Amino acid sequence: MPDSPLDVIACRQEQSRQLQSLFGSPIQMTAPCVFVYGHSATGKTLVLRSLLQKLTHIFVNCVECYSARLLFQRVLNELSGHVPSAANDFTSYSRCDNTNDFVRILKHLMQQKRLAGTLYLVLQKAERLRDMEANLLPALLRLQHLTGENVCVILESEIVWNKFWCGTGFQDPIIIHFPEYSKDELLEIMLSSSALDGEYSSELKESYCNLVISVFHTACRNLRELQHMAQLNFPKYVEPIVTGEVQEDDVRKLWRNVEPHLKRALQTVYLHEISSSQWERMQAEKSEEKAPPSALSSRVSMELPYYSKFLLIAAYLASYNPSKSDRRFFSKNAGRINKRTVMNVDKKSERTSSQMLGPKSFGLDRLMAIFYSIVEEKVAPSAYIFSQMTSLVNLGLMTRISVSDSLESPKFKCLVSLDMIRAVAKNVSFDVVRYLYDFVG
Amino acid sequence: LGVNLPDHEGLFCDLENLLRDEVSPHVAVLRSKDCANTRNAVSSCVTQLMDTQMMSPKRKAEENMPSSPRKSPRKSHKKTPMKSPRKACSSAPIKSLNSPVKNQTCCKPLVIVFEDLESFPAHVLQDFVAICSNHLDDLPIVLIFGIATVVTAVHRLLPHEFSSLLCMEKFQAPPATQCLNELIDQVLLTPSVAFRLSGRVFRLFTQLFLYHDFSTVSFIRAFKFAMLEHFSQSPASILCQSHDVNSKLESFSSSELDEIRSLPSFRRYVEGKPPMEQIKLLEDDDHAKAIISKMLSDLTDYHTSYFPILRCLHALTTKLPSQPMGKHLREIYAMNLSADMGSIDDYTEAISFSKALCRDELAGVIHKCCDYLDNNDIPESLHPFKDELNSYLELLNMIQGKPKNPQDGHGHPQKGTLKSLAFSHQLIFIQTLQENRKKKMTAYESLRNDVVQFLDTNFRYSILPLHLPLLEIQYYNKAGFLRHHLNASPRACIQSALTDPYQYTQNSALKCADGVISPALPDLCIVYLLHSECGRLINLYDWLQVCCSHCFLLSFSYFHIFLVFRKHSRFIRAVSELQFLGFVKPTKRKTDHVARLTWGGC
Amino acid sequence: MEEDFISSVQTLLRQRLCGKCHNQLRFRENEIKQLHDLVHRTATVGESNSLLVIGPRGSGKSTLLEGVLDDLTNEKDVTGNILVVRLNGLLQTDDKIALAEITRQLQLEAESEGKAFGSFAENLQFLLEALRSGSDRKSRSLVFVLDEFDLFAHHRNQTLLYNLFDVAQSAQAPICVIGLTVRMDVLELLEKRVKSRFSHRFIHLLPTYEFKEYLEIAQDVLTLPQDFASKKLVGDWNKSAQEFMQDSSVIDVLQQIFYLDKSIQHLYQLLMIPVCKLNAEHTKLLASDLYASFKILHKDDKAAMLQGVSILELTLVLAMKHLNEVYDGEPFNFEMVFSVYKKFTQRAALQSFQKAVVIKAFEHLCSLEIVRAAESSTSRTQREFRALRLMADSSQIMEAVKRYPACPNELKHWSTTPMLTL
Repeated sequence: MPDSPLDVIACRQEQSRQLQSLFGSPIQMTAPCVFVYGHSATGKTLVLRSLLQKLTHIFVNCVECYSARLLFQRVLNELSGHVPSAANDFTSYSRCDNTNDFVRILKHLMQQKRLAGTLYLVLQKAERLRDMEANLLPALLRLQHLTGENVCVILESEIVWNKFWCGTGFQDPIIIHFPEYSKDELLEIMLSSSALDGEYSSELKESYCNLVISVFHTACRNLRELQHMAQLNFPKYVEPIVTGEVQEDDVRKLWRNVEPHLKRALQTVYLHEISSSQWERMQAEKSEEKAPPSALSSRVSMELPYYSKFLLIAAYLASYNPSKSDRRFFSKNAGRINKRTVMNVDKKSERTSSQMLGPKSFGLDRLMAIFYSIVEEKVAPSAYIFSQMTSLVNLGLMTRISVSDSLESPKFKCLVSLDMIRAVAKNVSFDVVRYLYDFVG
Repeated sequence: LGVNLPDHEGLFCDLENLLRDEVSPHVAVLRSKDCANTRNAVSSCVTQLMDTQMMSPKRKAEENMPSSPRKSPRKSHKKTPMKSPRKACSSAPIKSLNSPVKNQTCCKPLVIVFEDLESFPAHVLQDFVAICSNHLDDLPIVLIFGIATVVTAVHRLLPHEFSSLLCMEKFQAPPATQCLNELIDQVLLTPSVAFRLSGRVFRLFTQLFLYHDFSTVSFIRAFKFAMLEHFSQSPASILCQSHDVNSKLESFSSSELDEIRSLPSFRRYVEGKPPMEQIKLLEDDDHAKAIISKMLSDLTDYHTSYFPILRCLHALTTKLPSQPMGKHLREIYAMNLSADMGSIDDYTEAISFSKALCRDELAGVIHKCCDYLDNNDIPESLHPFKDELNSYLELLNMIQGKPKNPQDGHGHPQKGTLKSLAFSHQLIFIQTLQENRKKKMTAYESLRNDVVQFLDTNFRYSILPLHLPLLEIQYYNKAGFLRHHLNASPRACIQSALTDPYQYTQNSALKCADGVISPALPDLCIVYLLHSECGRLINLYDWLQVCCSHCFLLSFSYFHIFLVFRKHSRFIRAVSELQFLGFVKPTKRKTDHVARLTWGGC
Repeated sequence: MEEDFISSVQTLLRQRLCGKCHNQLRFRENEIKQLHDLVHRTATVGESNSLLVIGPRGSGKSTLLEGVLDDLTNEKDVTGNILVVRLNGLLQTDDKIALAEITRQLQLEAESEGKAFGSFAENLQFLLEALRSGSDRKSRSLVFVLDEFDLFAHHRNQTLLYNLFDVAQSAQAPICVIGLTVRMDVLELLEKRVKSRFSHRFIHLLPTYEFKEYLEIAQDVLTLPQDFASKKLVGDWNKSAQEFMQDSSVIDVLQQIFYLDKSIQHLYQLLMIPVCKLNAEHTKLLASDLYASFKILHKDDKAAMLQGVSILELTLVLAMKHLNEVYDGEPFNFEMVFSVYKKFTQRAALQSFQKAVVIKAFEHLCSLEIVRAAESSTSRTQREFRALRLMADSSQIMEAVKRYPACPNELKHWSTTPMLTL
């Protein structure tokens, strides 16, 4: 098979060969179902696409086709070459509401078209199939049996096959695993596909990629992320070369130059918060002012009206402090409780710290009581205050947990993290930590 | 009603139109309330896009419900904290959106705007992003997320597998306070708008804004409301408009004039006059009209010079350490409106601070002031002020070179000696230092004192809005009334209605002394008053007894079984009304008891 | 020649392994005969019957039935006298669809079109009537094959089953209902009125064969019929297949499989991969291929996935494992994992990451379903506090840590020591 794509796809020869041999020549029967799994960005789709290029195949994404009906219609449309358009009023090939119809029409279509070879049906993100009708997955697994035609269903997923077991009628597929790339493989792929711009020698690129991989590897093995990072930081790497300070082969100097940038990037892996242009801008600013925390603080700073901030703080306190402790924190003449230290020794060791377990719910009354005691001036309980509550709920900072029909005593929960509440409290110069049970005690 | 929500809508409307005009005709705006599940989100998005596509059918559109194909190479992400003001903010995103657009010239990107990201159900968003990323190859798609809180909201809603599909870019709209400043700047701090808010009202408005909702929309609404009140309540307010004042004044009847005469500031003015003049003013309509019209034009003149000077003051005080008069122009303005400038501690403090400014800063301040004065077409009256300032600036620049020499001459040997001198000699050193100071004073510091003195007198002279007569015509002053209308407090209303029904019904029979429960009150009020004396749990039977003894005293003389039933039913009805109003609720803890829902004492 | 031969062999074997050819089952003579007799009687004598074939997955139920039906249609006195309706519980998910499908398979759409039926029974009755009137002879016999029989029992009121059994029992028309199922307790699923109409005839297809017989089955599948091609080639192939089957490592592998899962389907699947590997250069089945196939099919995929995660994620998995041990399988949440993680990185002086990054890594684990929410419907709580359970076994984790390329020593050490003693 000289023209096979086997060797085109770097580092995936083994898997390609397996699949290729399973597919065989078009007229031969194929295993009814193949399950392909592996981490994201391990070349699953790439391999399948290139192998199936010349074969009759249909790719369907199960996220997109969120119901069985859409899935069926999609398959049938593709198979029949039917395109919904304005001309036919965006209808699909034929009505297909259930698995029974699907199998029948599929069979009919295949006989009608006299397909020479196997029809490959690739279902991406197959884990979604589990959420659809219970019979769908088993039926797809047995599609060959049910239609009596040469159909091969290929499921593609990031989840292991065991997790698909549910219900009845399963037929085990042949399972092909795509392992994560090793470091060397990553390097090879990044070099071959690298989108690093500029005219630089391959040695330079290689040493750069090596660098990126070694820095990021502990946190991230995802090829796509690594490529993203490599691309982001490359301009920085070659900057000294462009300005003529450093020769291309002086790897050590280049490394020293780019190291801080990579380190910083490492702290924001996965976040994808900025586009490349902004990243450059930010890097430039940073190197000037040397103020790395600025990026972080801006992530948690939030703009809210003055009382909303206090409401939020009150909600946070109500969520994380046991209501028993309210008296201690908020009553004006609270004597420091002597037993405190005793109490805390065993408290600490338990896993019941609310910082660990998350927020508890509180009633509106309690919230308002805390609110009034932390706001210094007098605030009338006006409609504004209450409308701020709903706004906070809308913004996802608080959530309402009680049943919606109990009007009189709604219960809430605060959904804000400690970092954020700290930032908010700092903004209104309120020492929130002093009021937190877990920290005071 | 709610934090920042009203402003958002307008903002996104603007954004959408702008996008349509400048970036791409394919814009879909999704709101969380339309998108309870993926199906709704996709279909609403497709329908919106299809509408525009019908007009330009260059691409095969997809079928309505199912596979919705769209994708974008890069998604951008817009951060809109709270509200943002008009054009200023929307143009920022546009610019950066443009760059991806240019990359794919083939077809215009589909722009999908998520108006209120936080309220979208997470799974819908996840699916939507995943679907979008599927079609990235065929279609350029840009997603715009409107986030009111913080960027981390994106991460909260989109776990790793989905967020990794995004390439985000942040755009931050200016904070709400900035919009407010701009608004105040343009509307209130200009002489051209004659309607003004008094100190208390102004303070009320800004407080509503800052403390409660951050909504410029509602700020404007409140402003309009105040305006409406002002013009409808006082006839004199017609003089507020600056043009045509005289002819309007002519048409005033004497009763209307009397109203003006009864304005406190006019009275104050009159009292300051000799008795002859007083009588003339009060009796002779024509004379009064002439005076009034002069007063009005004075008022206008005053305002034209007032605002530039206020800005100068602002320029000066923001430079000072700890900013005794606040950071923003509006703070100074509010301060000004509520009290006499000379009597404000902060002001005196500010002036004394400014006497310690270093040269560069002072020059900067003066420069800035001059800029203000140059930019605006200032009234005649301010020309001397400006000229004076300019000359000070020149003087300052002149000294710039000069004082250095004496300073250097003295300073260097001093420093040299400092190092070599023994500890015991320090006293002498300090003395020389002080002398040195006095000398310097002669050069720069005296000039500085002059400048500050000059500014101070000018400020004191021209920033005195409280003393002009006829102020009421332009200033709206009923803060209490506004508070009542704008800052609704439903609970307080109900409670006052229940405790003191006279206030609402104006029925004098219901008037009652404090603490006495009169039987004439409606049943509901009696029941409420009694309940507010009880603890957390109320025994219904006791309640009924007390109730009977209090209110139905009269009927007891009959002692008829029928009446007993009637009392019972009246009581029960009042209690259920109370429950309906949310003051009590049935409890399961004890039979025949109800629980109170309000805190004691209120 | 040789090449063609090999590829045609492969084609045939593939067909066999996919269950396309119904070669007769060995060691099932009794069952075949029983089934054959039953259907035969229905076809010739017009006797109504019902029967359940019960056997685990891959035990050859369908093969048995299809084989019998094939045979029967070739018999003279049966051909033309029998109509087979095949239903599958996976496809006909409710009685309405099932009825439409029956109509379609009996080609009675034209007759039933435009008629409104009051009840399911009426409709079925009509179909039977239509059949009877369609042929001049007395009614032809119907054979209903209900695959995944248990799923039909979940239909509302079990109307279909009731009516079919009712017809069979009351002998209104010659009909034979054959259900195929894996559930031994399928009778319990039936309503009383349905159960009482069932004839309680069963065929149990249990894999009772011994390993020796198992080997013979495998041998059979791989053996070519004599008339397949030239004698020499067939002989050569069969000989090589025999050698293959006698290879001790092959027997070894098959034995392992046999103890795991006796089903023939599984065997077929195992053989599929070596058969697929046949090509011009590779003309024989090799023991090593079979072994590789065994490896593929019985890989511990969770451990394999764990090996693919990054060090950061692996550390989190270990932290969760420790949490699991300390709290005895109680659910935990991200905050706890994070605090353990922080302690570990501090003590081991490893590079530690910010919370935002760790959360992303953690989410990755969640999406791999290595971690799973302990209770459903948690959309309202913050992600950090959602109660979670670790879905991987501690031995799998250990395996992954052991095999992980370039795993830091601290991590290895930590994986074996209790959490708190580090």
